[in-house]
Amino acid sequence: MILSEQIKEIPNGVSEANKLIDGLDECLRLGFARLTTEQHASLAELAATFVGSPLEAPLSEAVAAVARSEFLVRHFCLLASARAALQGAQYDALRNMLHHGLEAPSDQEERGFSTLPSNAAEVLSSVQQWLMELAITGFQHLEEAAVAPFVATLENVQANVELTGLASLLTGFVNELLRFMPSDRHPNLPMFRWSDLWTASFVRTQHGTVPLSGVEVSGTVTPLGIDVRSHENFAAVTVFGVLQDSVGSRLVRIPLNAYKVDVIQGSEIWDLFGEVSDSILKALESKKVLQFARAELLPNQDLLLRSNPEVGQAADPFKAIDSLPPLPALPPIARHPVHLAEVVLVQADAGIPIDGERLPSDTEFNEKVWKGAKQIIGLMRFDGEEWRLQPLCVKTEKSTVISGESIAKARSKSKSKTLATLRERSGKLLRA
Amino acid sequence: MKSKSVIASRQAMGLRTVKKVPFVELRAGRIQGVISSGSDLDRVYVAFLEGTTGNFYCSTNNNRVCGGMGRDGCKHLHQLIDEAILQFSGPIVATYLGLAADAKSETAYELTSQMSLNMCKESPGVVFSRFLSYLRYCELEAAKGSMVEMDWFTS
Repeated sequence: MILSEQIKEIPNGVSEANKLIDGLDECLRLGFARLTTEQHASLAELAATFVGSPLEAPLSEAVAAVARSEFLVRHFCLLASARAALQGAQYDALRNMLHHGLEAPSDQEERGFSTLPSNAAEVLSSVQQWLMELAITGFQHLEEAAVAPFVATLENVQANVELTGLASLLTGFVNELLRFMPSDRHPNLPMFRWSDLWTASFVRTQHGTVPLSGVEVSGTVTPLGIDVRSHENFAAVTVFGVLQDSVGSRLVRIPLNAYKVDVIQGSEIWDLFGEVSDSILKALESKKVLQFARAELLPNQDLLLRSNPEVGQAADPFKAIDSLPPLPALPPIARHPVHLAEVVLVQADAGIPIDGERLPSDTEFNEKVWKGAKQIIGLMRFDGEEWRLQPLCVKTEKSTVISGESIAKARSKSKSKTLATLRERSGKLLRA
Repeated sequence: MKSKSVIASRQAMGLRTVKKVPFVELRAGRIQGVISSGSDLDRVYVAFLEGTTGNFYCSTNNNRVCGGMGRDGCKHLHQLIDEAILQFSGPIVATYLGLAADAKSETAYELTSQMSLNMCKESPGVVFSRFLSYLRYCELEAAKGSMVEMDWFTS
């Protein structure tokens, strides 16, 4: 897991793939109802890239159909699949390159597609319909009226717990679109990002996640740090750690997810996850291991806690991480450069830019920490055609600073009880 | 912007408490939301202010008119706008209402004094049901396991 070379180069084909993607994104920006010969040429170029692949025939058919203004959901599904396939190839190339730089073998495990929940066909078809309408209208020409009514469908997606991934994605997407309405007032829309969200939503209406069955494990986890991702209505926290049990040690993720409302943010997010929050935050604050019994370890290295872990002995993340194999590759549907989060240990002077965008505004990693930094455990991220390092844990001359270590204190100081107040309200009003 | 999947999220929103104003949103050209009654725990007021027309109204969720309404709104409407400013920032609220981005927007009073307000009766149903959908988020169940779809969103 030690990054032995500086990662500066980008594998062949990554930029070229982005050029093809930009061609499709320009169609999504303008709207498929408004394409000119220039965009049709971009789409033909995209289709030509897939010659010899299983997508060749259906994609060229779809491109020919939209050129005739024959707008059907399946044509847009194929365009989304093509975009996702290009980004999947980017993910594989980037991950392989990183793993040559890392002293770790690359794994090439194949995973199958899953089926979607059987009771979801109708709602998923409504999602596809809406995504197609966005594409026909174009991101640059959207009005609130094209987005707001979709909320009714969205609520049905959210109500199906098996569709949580798609629901969290669509909810963030819809919120963001609504903030930019009407979109023609905004000259610099985040087109690549919106096309990403459109594509990822579309492919998830066709394929679900692979159901995984785990094994029961008991032992300790040495926390390496946390990654917090949230939008107005969802929070996802991952605690990265090293599991130690009778089998040995390996990298794991403890995932915590919850829906939320916009006012719940910062340290209050931890109110959403129940009593495990206290143990995890205490372990981070005191730099100790988490001790647990009978948790479920999934083949993707997600560790699902079934009961509240206890805080154990002192932890040393930098010792724990030594020479562990990387987390397995993601299933094909989730192969996109945005999902690269490879755990690495690097020297602070390795010259990899720090990914500040992914750190919270009250991050523990302040100027003082960076001045004394010696070694960093972090996540290698790739975006905007460059590698960056999202720090999880930093070793300085005097101490170790771990992401999330200040949250326990912030929570004990705060008097705000947003979740409890709203739950009380909803108890009264939803059941009134 | 070179092919960026993740953009730095907006400036951290101001921390507001939900005790007095459990719900506020910018929607359909309006600031709208729900305000707790100062006297009765089981009662809430529903109020809105529309940007282009200056239309506003305030009533209880049971459709009883707010007794405190005058030409320039009522204390509930002002509380609502103050919370919107805390949550979304003054300039965002001002532009949403159609005022200039550099309009004075530190308080509800500053904002409303630049608009010509117009009391316009409306049923609280739509806004109140938005509030119930909002509360629903506190009760929705999420799947366990890594949620890679959230990788597009930072903290």
